[in-house]
Amino acid sequence: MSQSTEGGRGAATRAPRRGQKGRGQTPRGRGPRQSPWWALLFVGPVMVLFAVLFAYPFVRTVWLSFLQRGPFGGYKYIGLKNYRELISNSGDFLAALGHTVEYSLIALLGIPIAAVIATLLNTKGLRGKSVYRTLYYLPVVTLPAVVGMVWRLIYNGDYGILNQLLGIFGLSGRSWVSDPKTIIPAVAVVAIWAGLGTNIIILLAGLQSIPETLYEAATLDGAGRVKTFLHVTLPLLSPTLFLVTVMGVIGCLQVFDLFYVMMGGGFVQTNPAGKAATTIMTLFYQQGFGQNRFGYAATIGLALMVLILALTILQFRLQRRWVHYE
Amino acid sequence: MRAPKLIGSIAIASLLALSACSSGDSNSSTTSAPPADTSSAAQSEPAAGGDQITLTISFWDPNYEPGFQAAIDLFEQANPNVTVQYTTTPSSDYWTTVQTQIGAGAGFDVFAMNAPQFPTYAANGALLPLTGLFDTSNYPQATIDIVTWDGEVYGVPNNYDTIGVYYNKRLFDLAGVEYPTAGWTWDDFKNAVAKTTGIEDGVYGTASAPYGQMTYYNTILQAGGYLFTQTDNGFGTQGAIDGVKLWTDFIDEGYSPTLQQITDTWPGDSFGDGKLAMFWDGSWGAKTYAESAQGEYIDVAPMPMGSANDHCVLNGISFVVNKNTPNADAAKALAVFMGSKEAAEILATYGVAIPSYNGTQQAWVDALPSMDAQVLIDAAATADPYPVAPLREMGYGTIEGDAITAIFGRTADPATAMPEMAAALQAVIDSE
Repeated sequence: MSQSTEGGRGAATRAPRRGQKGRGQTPRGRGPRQSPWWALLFVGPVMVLFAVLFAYPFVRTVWLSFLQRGPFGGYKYIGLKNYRELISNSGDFLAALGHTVEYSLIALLGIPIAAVIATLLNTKGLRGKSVYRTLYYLPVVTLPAVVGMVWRLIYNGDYGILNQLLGIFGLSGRSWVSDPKTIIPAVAVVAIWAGLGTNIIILLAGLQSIPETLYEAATLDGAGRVKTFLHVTLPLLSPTLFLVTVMGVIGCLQVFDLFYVMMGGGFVQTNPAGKAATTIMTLFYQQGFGQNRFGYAATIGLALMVLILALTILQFRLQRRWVHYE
Repeated sequence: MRAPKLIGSIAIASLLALSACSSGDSNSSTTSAPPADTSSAAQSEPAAGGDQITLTISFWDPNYEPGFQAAIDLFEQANPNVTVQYTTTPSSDYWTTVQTQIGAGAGFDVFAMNAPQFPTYAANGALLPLTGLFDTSNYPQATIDIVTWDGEVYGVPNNYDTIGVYYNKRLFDLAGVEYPTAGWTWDDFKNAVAKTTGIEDGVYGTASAPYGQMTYYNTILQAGGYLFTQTDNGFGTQGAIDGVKLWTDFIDEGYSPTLQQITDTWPGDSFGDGKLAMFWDGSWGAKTYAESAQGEYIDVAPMPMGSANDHCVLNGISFVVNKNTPNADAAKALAVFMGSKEAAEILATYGVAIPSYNGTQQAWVDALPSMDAQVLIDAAATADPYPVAPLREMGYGTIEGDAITAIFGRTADPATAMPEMAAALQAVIDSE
């Protein structure tokens, strides 16, 4: 197959035969295939998708934040009223931000945990590597809603497995996901568990790109396993860790699904832990989809975006201090 | 009505912060409304006499689809020039979809309506009046009340639900308590709750569920309170406080699981497993309880008599006609037919819901031989229409829910929190 097509194209475009010249030496700007419009053909579909799925909704969202929605879609321009409301209700927003930060601080512990597990999985001569990797990755390919439903049962105060396990050790449990004191850590632990697989896979790829010779040199210099991890692995893994951290922070700030499902889905409003676990996205959802206040919800969404943007810029600034590029 | 929320949560799980912001909005400007759009395209062709026309109709519960489809087949046979496309729109998206489509000048020709949503549609002129097209005396009065606005009837009642006290005869026998019968009182109910609590390990007398339609709306009415009129709300009245206190006392006395336990385990499941002696729930739950683990012991009793009456609230599903329909006459005929005696008799045989047309409910009762399901139908005669705020578009949502969660969560006292909630609701009502 490749034989015939290559012959045909070669004849039409006078392209060099394979093996005669390197690809880099192909003369540019000659023949129809070199026209810059070809590039559009390849980039076009992505551009269209980007425009439809991101650019347009973004512009609309900004516009929406200046509008008030009527019950049947009639929109009214109200200037900065949504923003003023956000500021005058800043108590709600700050409380949600507080819950989100509390959750993030716990959930982000998943990154060091993933780094340790990935290093162990990268051990030379480890048997059943693919079994471990599959096990750690399974939660990632499970629907978040299903993860939430299953953990909701595990955390059940009366019948949950967790409390039965605690009972064996003589400890008394509680209603983990309907108790204001435990709801945030309970959900964050599930987020760590569910996100471990993704982080491990990315970190494993980073680990495997560290040259073997460095480890040999470290061994020759008499470094033990812990020292090797701290002084060879970690610095060289830092670009990957940085990537995982930036994505992790964004994911944490946008958390919604796990809270929603684990707190009872449609019954979330009567969950006694509800007020203690409103995240920014929950606030957004309540206003937008619960009360049809799309304009105000858009304002909350934009505030969250600004927050994420600021945090990400900050992280890029700080990375100079700890990320080592070779 | 309870609705499957899992679908909603899966859909939401896939939304990102910003693309979600505008999804509800962009629906109105782009074409993300498949069934309605295809139909209006078909209808936009010149409809000369005898031309084929297509009507669209939608409801949210997939369990109804076979029954509704059977009725629609009959309608199509009688009207050979009409093709009806039936769509189940998942309940999590139903109201958003319908509202957005109507806002964009399209939408299903005929669609299902319930009591809480009706005022929004009627007040905004989204529906065509159906007054005089059918005989309203064929339906329980409450089912007509919930689709009446400014003297015009906008919906044809299709099916309804009432509330009953489901009870477990085995647990009553163990406790030596007489089964509840018509005419029993709140005192009888409290007595039965107290005596059956703890009769087996982990058994509670009842569950104080914070779901208005199932519990405290009924008891507020029974205690002589009210919820809404056109201009005010009654959540601060003594009747409302008593109606809620009945339930919170059970929690305080240990006769009901706490709100945390109720949140963790759906009390209907606890009841079906024999962990509750009584549970107040809608007629929609009858079949589930009859088929539950304790099904052979489960029966249903009418509401107990409070200081004022023994009424329950009634919610109903009606079919309404979209003002945007290009085939108004055919659409009206379809809505009327879906509530007709013929259609009701078909729906009844599927056993999913109580048909609204008087005299057609026997098939539904027959489908539940293990319990006295007739009490749920008799309840409709005195039922009060599901209480709905005058205009519920803006800002009510969390006021009632937040207050009730605090009260049932026992961090707030009904005597003080109910009047506070009433004042907050009134401020919204007065601002409209």
